[in-house]
Amino acid sequence: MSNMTESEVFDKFAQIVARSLRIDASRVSIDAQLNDLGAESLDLIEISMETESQFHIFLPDKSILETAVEVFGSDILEKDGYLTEEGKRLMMRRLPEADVRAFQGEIAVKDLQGYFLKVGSWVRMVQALAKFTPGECAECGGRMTASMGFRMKCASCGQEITLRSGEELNRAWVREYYETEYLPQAALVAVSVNAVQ
Amino acid sequence: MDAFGSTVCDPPDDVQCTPGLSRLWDAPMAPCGQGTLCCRLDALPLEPDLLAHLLLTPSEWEFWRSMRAVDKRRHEWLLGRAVAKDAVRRLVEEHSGVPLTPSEIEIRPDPYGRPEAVGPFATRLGIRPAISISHSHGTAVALAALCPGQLVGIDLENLARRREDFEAIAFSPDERRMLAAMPRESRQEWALRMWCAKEAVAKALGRGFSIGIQAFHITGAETGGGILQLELRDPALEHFPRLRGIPITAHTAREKDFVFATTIYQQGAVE
Repeated sequence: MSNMTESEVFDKFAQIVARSLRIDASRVSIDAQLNDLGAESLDLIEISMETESQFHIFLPDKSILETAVEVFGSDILEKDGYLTEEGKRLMMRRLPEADVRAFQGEIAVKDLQGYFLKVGSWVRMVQALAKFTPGECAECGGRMTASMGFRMKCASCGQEITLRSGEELNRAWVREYYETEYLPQAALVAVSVNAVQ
Repeated sequence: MDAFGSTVCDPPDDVQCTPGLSRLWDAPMAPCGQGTLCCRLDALPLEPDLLAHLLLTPSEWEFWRSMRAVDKRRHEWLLGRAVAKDAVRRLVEEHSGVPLTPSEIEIRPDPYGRPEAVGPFATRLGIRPAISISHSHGTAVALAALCPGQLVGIDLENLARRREDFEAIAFSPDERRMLAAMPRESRQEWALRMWCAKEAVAKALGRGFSIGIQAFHITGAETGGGILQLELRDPALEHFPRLRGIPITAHTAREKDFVFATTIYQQGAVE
C-alpha cells in the first residue's frame, strides 16, 4: 500500500465511489465533489468504510479544522464561522493544491466543505495515510494482511502491528505546525509589539 | 411546440399564489405549541427549470444554474428549497397574516452551512425563522420555527440498501450495545433512527458532523414513543459548553421506507 501513486489511488477510489453511489465510474473525476455526485451522509459513511477496508487505513472522524481548533484553542483559527488570518495560513499549508486566491477575503467554515468533499482531497488523504500501512513485514519481509480491528498481520511470521488512525496523524501534523510554525511566529509578533511599546 | 420539438408551456400564473407546493406534514415532533411546522414534498411538481424560475431568488437562481452536479443532487436541492420556502410561507402567514411568494424568501447557508431564511420580509416583520432541510431518495422535508432563539433540526433517511456494518463507524460501543438489546426485526430501523437523531441534533446546533459523529451520543431510547435522548461529548462541548450534561431529545418515526428524526432546541433549554 505504501507506494501507491495518486493515479492508482484515484482509480481504486473512483470504483468505490461509483459502486456506492451506483453511478458510472467515468463520472468520478478528481475535481468532482462527492455530494455533487449524489452522496448523502450515509453514503459518505459507506464510502469511508469501503475505503478503509480496501486501503487498510483509518480515516479521521472529524475535519482537520476541528482537530486544529482543539490544539490551538477557540477563536485563533476561526471566529463566528469565518477563518481568521491564522486559520487561512493553516489551511493553505494543509491544502497546498488549493488556489491561493481562494483564501483571499472572507472564508466561511462552510466554504471549506467543498475542499473536503472533493474526490481529489480524499485521494490525497488516502495516499498520505496509506504510506503508514506497510506492505511488507518489518521483521521478515513477509506479506502483511488485514487482521482484526485496526491491525495487520504478517502472513509469514505472524508479527502483528496496530495501524495509526487518520485522527492521530492529523493531530500530529497540527501539533507539529503549531510548535514549529505558529508558536515561533507568535513569539516574533510578541517581540515586535513589545519593541514598539 | 418549439423549434426543437419540445412542448413549451406557459408558466402557470397561479403558482406563486397557491398556499404551497408541498403538504403540511405531521412530523414526529414534541408538542411545542404554535410557531413550528413541517412540510414535505415527494416529487418535483414541475419541470425543474420552470420550478426554479418560479421559486428562486436571483442569487439562488444563479447558484442553481451553476450547479455542476448529477440530476439527483440538483433536483433534491431544488426540492429542498421548495419545501423550505413553503414551510416559512405557511408559518409567516399563520402568525403574521402576511402572504409571501417563494421568491421573497431566500434560503441561504450561514457561515457554518446551516440554512437560514432571509429577505426583506424578515426585517419588515421583525422575525428570523429557523429552518432545517433534509432530502433523500426524491423526498424533501423542512422543519421551520418562528420563536426567537429556537433552533431546529430534521433528518430523513431511506431504509433501502443500507450496509448493516455502518454501525461500526456511526455508533460508539455503548450505542451498539443499546442497539443489540433491541428486537432483531427492528434493529436496522432503530439504527437508522439513531443516526437520524444524531444528524438532526448536529444540524440544529449548526456545525453538522464536522465535529465528528461520536460527538453526538445517544444515551437512552423510549422505543414506544420513538424518543431518543442524546448528549454532547467532546469536541462538541468545546463549542457548546453550556450543553454539558444536558439531555437533548430527538423524536423519531418510520413511515414506509423512510425514517425521520426532529429536534427543537431552545437556547438554554432543550425540547
